[in-house]
Amino acid sequence: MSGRSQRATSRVLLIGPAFVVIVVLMVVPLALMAWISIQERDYAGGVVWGSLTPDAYVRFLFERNLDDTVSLSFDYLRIIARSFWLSAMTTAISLAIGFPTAFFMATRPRRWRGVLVFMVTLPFWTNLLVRNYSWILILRDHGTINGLLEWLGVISQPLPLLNNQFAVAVGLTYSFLPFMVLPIYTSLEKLDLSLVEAAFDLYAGRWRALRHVVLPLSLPGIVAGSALVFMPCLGSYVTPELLGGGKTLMIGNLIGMQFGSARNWPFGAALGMLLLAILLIGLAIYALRKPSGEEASA
Amino acid sequence: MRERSPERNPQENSQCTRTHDAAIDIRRVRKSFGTGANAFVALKEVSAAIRRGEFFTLLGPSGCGKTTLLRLIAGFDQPTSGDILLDGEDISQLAPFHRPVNTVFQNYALFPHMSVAQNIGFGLKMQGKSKAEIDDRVDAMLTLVQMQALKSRRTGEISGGQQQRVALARALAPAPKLLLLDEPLSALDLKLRKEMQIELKRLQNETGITFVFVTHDQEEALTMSDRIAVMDHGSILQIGTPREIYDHPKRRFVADFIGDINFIEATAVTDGGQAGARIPGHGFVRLEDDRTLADGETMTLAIRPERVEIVPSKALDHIDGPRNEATNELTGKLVNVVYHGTDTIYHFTLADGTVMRARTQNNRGFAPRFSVGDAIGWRVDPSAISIVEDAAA
Ligand SMILES: Nc1ncnc2c1ncn2[C@@H]1O[C@H](COP(=O)(O)OP(=O)(O)OP(=O)(O)O)[C@@H](O)[C@H]1O
Ligand SMILES: [Mg+2]
Repeated sequence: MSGRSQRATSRVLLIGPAFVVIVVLMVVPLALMAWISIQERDYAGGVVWGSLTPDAYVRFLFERNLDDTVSLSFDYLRIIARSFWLSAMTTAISLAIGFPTAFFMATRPRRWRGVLVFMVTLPFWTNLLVRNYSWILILRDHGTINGLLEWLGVISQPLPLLNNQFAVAVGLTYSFLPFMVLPIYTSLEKLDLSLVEAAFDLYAGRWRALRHVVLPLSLPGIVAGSALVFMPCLGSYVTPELLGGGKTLMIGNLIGMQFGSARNWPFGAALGMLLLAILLIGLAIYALRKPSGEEASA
Repeated sequence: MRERSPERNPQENSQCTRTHDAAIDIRRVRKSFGTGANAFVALKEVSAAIRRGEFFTLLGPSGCGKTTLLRLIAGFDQPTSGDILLDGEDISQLAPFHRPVNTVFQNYALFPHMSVAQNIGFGLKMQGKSKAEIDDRVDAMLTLVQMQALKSRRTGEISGGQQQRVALARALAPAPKLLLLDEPLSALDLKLRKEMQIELKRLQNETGITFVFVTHDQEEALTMSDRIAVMDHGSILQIGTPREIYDHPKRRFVADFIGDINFIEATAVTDGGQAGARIPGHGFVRLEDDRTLADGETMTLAIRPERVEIVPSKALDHIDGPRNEATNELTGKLVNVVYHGTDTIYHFTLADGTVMRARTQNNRGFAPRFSVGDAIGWRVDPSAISIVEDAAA
């Protein structure tokens, strides 16, 4: 009896801290955000507590004209679409760069691998703002790249590398690439290389060994890496702000603006809720998909 | 595209020259790993001609280079120098996926994300065979290795012996000219291992494919092989049929590695064309080894314990005489008698203290006629004495 209650006590003690952290740091802020998103806006900033209205959600697709009529507007949807597009691009580019990198790392002698992993995480030791500013130096009209190309005589006019979607994609890829490399590296490192030899032995050339053996077996790493890149990209704020030059707004910037200059807290909170809902739906679809993907490939 | 040999190879033609006959011809192949001061020579000038349809075994202790040689034949590694010819064609520079050679890996290396049937069909699929053809062939292979019932299982959901069969079927499915097997039975328990040995022989007979089989189990090598290559420290020491290797080992290492054996230091006696040896403290024994000897040359004789016959010393007034060509009998002193169930091993010493063993079958029950401390006589047929080279590889 006492043994059982002791076990119950230790269970509470073990789970307790994590439970408190999750409640205080996740559930409470989320609930607060959901609550704010259905309040009436206070034009001076903040909200008028207690006056419920779906205005913030309506505003997402409909515009209230001066004469109080309401008309359809896709401005915000466009920003969301652009966010998805840029995030998808970033994920694809990260995968294209990250997979070969991870493969290279995983096939080095064991004593080198630790060093390589450290090198991949090296950018994290520098501040995100500093890293984004240095990209400005590299990409701007008279920056490193344009300067070099002009000096080489390849171009006479500077290429428009900064303050556009390209710059944002570059910056996001740079920021989140390690999140792609590390999970893929982990799954590739576990891969038994004799399986690749077996594929070669059974007449699979390099590409087909990659496609039929290496890729399916590193799929968990690829999925994890893609999720780890895509999701923070979608909500990114600093990179589009600095490298997009204020022209390439993403959801993060839009939300930031609502709590800042636009002073529309409910709308900002509603945008946050929408983003969360979209991501949750995506995750749910992934979690409920057919458990194993290889079945169809035979 | 790749030529496939027919299922059943024509019977070997004994008129053919050895090299023409060879399915695979390994010519002075060297392999070293690393460079400079760190270089490690895993294979030193290895040559072997493996015949078509043969069950050829590489036998040797751990680390002697068996896997290294197999990997060179499969194409996973390139030889440092030397050539490997398959049916007369140099394949040393060919990528593994261009060689009509398949491997059964020591750890099986089955694809964990595929079913048993998908594993077996993988090679055919990569060769671009039609779906119908793949299905037919996979079915035939499943029948061959008696795995039809488990064809849709994942490879992680079947037993070790079953995995071994799948690995075998997967390697046989594309009908390779040559099948390489790297200690495929080492992970199995003794009973299953015996079963699979018989199974493997059956499969080899049925398919007629040339097998190159790696093992460090001498008994397995003796029972399964057409010919055996005994390896040590990156060299092949002797190639021969199991009987040749067992009865006429040419090197001390070969004699020692396979079965139990006695070594005696002796000096050569050549007299009237009769080859013989003088054993210090004893006398003269006749030899049948066809090696040419120089008079007085020191040499090592190797004699299997089961070829040594213990006889009562009383009957041997004439033994240890200056010459005893008729009987090849000598004396010894019995120091131990060990009962082994099916047979009894007598330990006796020679004049110089060399301990010898004689093995007799207990086919009439265990009734030792000699007791420890007795002076005994022992007899050995000249054909049972091998002269072995002492030099290390
Ligand atoms: N890639 C490599 N780099 C360096 N040395 C190697 C390499 N592969 C094998 N060796 C060395 O070559 C020698 C032969 O190895 P190999 O794997 O051929 O032995 P083996 O006869 O198959 O032994 P076992 O019966 O234990 O499998 C060993 O000493 C091994 O350490
Ligand atoms: Mg080996």
